[in-house]
Amino acid sequence: MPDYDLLPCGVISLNLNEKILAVNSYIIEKLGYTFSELENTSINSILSTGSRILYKTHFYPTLMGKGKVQEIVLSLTGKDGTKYPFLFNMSMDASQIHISGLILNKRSDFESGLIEAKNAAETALLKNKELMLAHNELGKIQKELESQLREEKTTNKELRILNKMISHDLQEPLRKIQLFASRTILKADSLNSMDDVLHNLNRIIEVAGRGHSLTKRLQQYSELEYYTLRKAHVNLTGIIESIKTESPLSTYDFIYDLEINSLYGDEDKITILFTELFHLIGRLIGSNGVKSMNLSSSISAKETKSPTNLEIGKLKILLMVEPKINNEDAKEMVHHAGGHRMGINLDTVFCEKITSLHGGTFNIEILDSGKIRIAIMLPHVSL
Amino acid sequence: MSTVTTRNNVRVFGNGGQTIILAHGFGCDQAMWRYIIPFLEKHFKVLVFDYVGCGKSDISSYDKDRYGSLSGYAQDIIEICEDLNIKQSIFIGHSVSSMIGVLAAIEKPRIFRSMVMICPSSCYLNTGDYQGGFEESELEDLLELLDSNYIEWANYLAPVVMKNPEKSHLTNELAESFCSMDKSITKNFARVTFFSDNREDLKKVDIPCLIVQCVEDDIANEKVGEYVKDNLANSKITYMEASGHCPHISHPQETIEVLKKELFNEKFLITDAGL
Repeated sequence: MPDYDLLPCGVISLNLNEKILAVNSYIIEKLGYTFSELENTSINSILSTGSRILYKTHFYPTLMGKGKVQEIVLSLTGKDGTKYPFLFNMSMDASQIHISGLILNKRSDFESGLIEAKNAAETALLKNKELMLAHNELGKIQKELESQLREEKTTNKELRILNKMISHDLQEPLRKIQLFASRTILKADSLNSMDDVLHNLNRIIEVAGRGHSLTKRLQQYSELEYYTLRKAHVNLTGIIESIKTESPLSTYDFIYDLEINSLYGDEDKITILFTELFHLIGRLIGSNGVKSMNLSSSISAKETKSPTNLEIGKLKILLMVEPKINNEDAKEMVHHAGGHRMGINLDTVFCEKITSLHGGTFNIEILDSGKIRIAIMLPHVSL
Repeated sequence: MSTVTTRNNVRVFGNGGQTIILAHGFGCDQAMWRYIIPFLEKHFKVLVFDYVGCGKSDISSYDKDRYGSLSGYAQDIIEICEDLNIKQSIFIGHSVSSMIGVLAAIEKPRIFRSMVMICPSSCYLNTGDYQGGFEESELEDLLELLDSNYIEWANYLAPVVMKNPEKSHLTNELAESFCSMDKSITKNFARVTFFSDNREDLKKVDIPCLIVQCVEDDIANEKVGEYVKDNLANSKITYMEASGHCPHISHPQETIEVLKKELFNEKFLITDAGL
């Protein structure tokens, strides 16, 4: 049998009531007790408070359940109150609990440093996680602010255009009304000038009608700001044919090349979109006349199925208008297209606004040949 | 299984009409009831569970705010009972679970018909004239030790997945996972357990309560147990010969005898009073 007092580690034997039956010199010397002071006392009396709680609530039930616990750290309290951390293994049989342990003084300092570093790293990780969350949150807020700023910019741009149109386009008919009214008054007392008076009155009525039409369109435009779209599948050719008759382009033939004739949108607003589009083309062409008009539609940028299981892609509507025009006129048109004729009129902003409300884009360009190319991209939802 | 039963790893044994709920204490899990379940399940429907962060509970359900007080743990018990439609059960709580049971009984007065409190304490800290047994500074020692025993907590992270139903594997699996705990949750649970003061709550409970007191219990001494008894309206205390803090593990037979007496002979725990 080995002499336990010579062993370079601590050995303790307890009965099942946790009373100390035997303890070797290693423990006695470290703690500063005599054997008689420890004999038959509870192991709890030499465990530090924290160790006692952990031992009684966790290690003891585990020992009872598993028959052993290994590599556990508990502190024993010396006679002078000093705490000594030990690394213990414990096992039990039918009558005793066997404990062996090594004091961890130096190792404990080193391990404490490691644990401290580990805790600091864990805290840093947690903080990092919180920072990442905060960063993501800030990113979201920044995007929202940018989006709001973009909306503000768009609104400001639209307001500037509206102001310009009101000051320019609406002034024009009012000035003409004033002019024709003055002429009418001057000639009102002359019977010979009755035809002139009637002519002027007709002009006044016509100009007032234009003014009325413009204010009505302005009202429609401003209503779009708070309008909620009522989307449905609408027939593209149906819409174009219905408005063509009232358009300045009605006398010209359309050539349809439609891969897709169904458009998912608000029928009223899509009707206004094409009405304004024809208005725009008419304005650009002026007195030149039209040689041909081609309307095509196709699906591009087909995407995977949406959560609602509707197939979504982009519907591209392309309208090419070829004016009857000579080279000089074409150059003139392209020149003007870069200026006020293109972007500052109500028809253009109407087209942009309605396509934008539908989540799409509107693009118009005058090619060097004088051809007008209009591309409308809209989200496509299959029937 | 529903979320609640998965969250708390709820298991039910036996087919009796009366349900007994067994709630483990700090530092352990439902495995600690293994020695008394064979007796109880012969007569009752027995429900055991793990608090979140202990045993095989769903650790992802841990919410620092919810479990920042014992009320969060009481809420788990209430939800388990509601989920399984259990009313008027007999609640057996070990250690801190005694007070968790008290909080559940206050919030839902019909949830338990009676309670057994094994080694309870309504306040572990010494405050004024009251001697709970611990100074606040001594608790720091416990928290440091939880850090030092990192090897112990490492077991919790890799529970053995049972694929082979062979018995020896099952035994190993049970043995390996016995009282496994997550370290950070255990640290929080330690704070919540040892810093709680539920002395005022005792006065709000009037169902029959049996206090089971061991000798030489270093966690909840006799005076602490008697304080609990004196402040409950309808209570009695049983002094066991068993020493320590876990008589149902160290002295299961004596624990079973105590329960037998109060369940079948004196019927203190199944009285209809208050129903």
